[in-house]
Amino acid sequence: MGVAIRQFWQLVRKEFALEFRNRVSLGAVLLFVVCAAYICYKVFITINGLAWISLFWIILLFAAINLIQRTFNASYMKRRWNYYTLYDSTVVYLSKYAYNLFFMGLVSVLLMGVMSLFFGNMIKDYPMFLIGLSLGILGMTGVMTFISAVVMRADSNGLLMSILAMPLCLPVLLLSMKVHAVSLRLIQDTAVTGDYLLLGGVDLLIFGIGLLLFPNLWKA
Amino acid sequence: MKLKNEQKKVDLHLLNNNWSTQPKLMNVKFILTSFLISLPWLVKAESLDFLRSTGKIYSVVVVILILFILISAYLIRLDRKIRTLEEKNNNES
Amino acid sequence: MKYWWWKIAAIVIFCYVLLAGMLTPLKPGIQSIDNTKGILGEELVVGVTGYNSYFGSALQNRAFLKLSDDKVIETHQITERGDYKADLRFNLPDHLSTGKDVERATLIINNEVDGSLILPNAILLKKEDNTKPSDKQWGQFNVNELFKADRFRFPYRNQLNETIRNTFFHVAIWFAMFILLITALVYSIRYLITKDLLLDTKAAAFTSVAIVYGLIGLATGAVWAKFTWGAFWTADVKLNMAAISVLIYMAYWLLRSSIADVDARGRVSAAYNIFAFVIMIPLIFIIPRLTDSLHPGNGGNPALGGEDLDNTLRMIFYPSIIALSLLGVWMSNLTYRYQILVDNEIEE
Repeated sequence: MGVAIRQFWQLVRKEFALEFRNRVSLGAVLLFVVCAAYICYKVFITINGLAWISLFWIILLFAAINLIQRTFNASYMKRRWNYYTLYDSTVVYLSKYAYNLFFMGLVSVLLMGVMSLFFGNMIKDYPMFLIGLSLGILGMTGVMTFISAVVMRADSNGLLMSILAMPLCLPVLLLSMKVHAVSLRLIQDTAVTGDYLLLGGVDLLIFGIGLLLFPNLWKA
Repeated sequence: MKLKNEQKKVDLHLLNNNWSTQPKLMNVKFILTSFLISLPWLVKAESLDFLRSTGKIYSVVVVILILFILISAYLIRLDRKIRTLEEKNNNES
Repeated sequence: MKYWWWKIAAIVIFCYVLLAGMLTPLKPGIQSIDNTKGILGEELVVGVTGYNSYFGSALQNRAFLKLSDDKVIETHQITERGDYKADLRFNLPDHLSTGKDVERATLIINNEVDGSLILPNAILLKKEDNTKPSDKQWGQFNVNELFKADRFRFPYRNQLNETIRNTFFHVAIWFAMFILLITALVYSIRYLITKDLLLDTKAAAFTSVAIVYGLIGLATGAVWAKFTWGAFWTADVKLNMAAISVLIYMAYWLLRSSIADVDARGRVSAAYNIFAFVIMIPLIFIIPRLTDSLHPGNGGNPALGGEDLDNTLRMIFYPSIIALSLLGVWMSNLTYRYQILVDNEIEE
């Protein structure tokens, strides 16, 4: 167990070191978020609360696809294959998951700021909004990380990532949008705790099943 | 005038020839495209009164027909795939 | 015989479903009424149009307006005009005796041929300011006095009418699809354990038939929705979740076709199949229950059961699921055998 934790931190540190040595891809995703929000602003100018949430999650979804599809980038993995074989597959999955989660958090906070800047701040209940956001990101990252591992094995991985991941993200997306609608006071819901539990359950399910199945994808 | 007519005939002939060389594929594509093009009109059609008559029983008939047609379409596709396999085997042996 | 008895069974059961499902008549019901408002203390005249009813042939027609079991009034005159039409005349009491000014009453017609015809919340009884006093009183309701007609017939539901028979085809095909998907899941899990490529081929065959079943479910659902809800495609949750799960399995096929290496294809598609199935469970079973839906069993609507699926419907619905599942297994079997031939060809 101790070895696994040490390996995990080692891998995460390595990922971050690599990321910050070459900041192009992360910068591209951050710029993507700003551009998408700006285009939406120029198209819609003013929007209501429901459209705010929908835009927020749609932009986040596409940013996630762009961000996470290079997690198990085929050529990158091939180059560093010998390095990764030193580690247990579960540890690799966990480190990739944690790394993606961190950047998804970064992207979503940036998106929150940009959306508030362009369309006005519509969030009424911050704790609720943030809990919903983090649970949504947990689930989305879980699905995308697993799917990017699936796509790693496919011969052509251009559009495959999006068509595989988008429908699978839907349960998480719908549940977190519902929680967010409550946090923007668009709907009254007294049973919102149940929604949180459900969202957390779905996240746990996605995480667990991904962890369970990943070794099958990893073994060459 | 005459020339034009003759040209038309030739064109039609060419067209027919084209159809006879690869009839099945063309037919399927033709039916599919015409169905897709007519979809908006089908959806818009207000004259569904016949299907609504006698307690909407004919809509049940439509449902059964869809079930039957789609299952048959799957089987026909499978049948065609098996036939190409057979033909390939026969040619080899 | 040993190997194909279940194929015969599938055909026989499906023929039974078609015959019994289409030939059994519906119970008589009240299709429409021409008057929905009654003013207390006055005479109420309601023209009723029945469906599958025998007003003219029956000798002992009775009709009631019912608020609750101990607040009922009976007609004082029924004029039958053929089997399907009748005019009912009620002398309404001058009070509702519940303290309310407005209440909805259930209309019940009873005769010895049809049994009871019930239209819930049919007539709005209203108290006006200048209500005339009347000596008419609400009476007791005695169920034992009514005629019963216990014949094998499907329940009559307003709006659904004859389309209640679609239960045997539309609902049953979703159940059958789910059975096929579970079979594919089991094969995928077994593949990951044993690494036997035949199991992977089997899982793929079952999934492809399940996709066809899903498309049939969507198409038949669209037709049924047009005649009951008014549109081919609605924003209904369950419909859209089902469409999404069909998309997920189409992506499964795309994934398979994009991997050339047989072993990698097997491993990746099995892993994706299990992952997709697990995510589909909240998609189909949990989220529709949270939101409003037109489907039974969601958002406060009664679940499958009650009046939507009574015992007469069950006697055809369950065999239909079995028949469609067996047909699906049969079709998957053919696909599987074809795929084995193709794979052998490639190896040679």
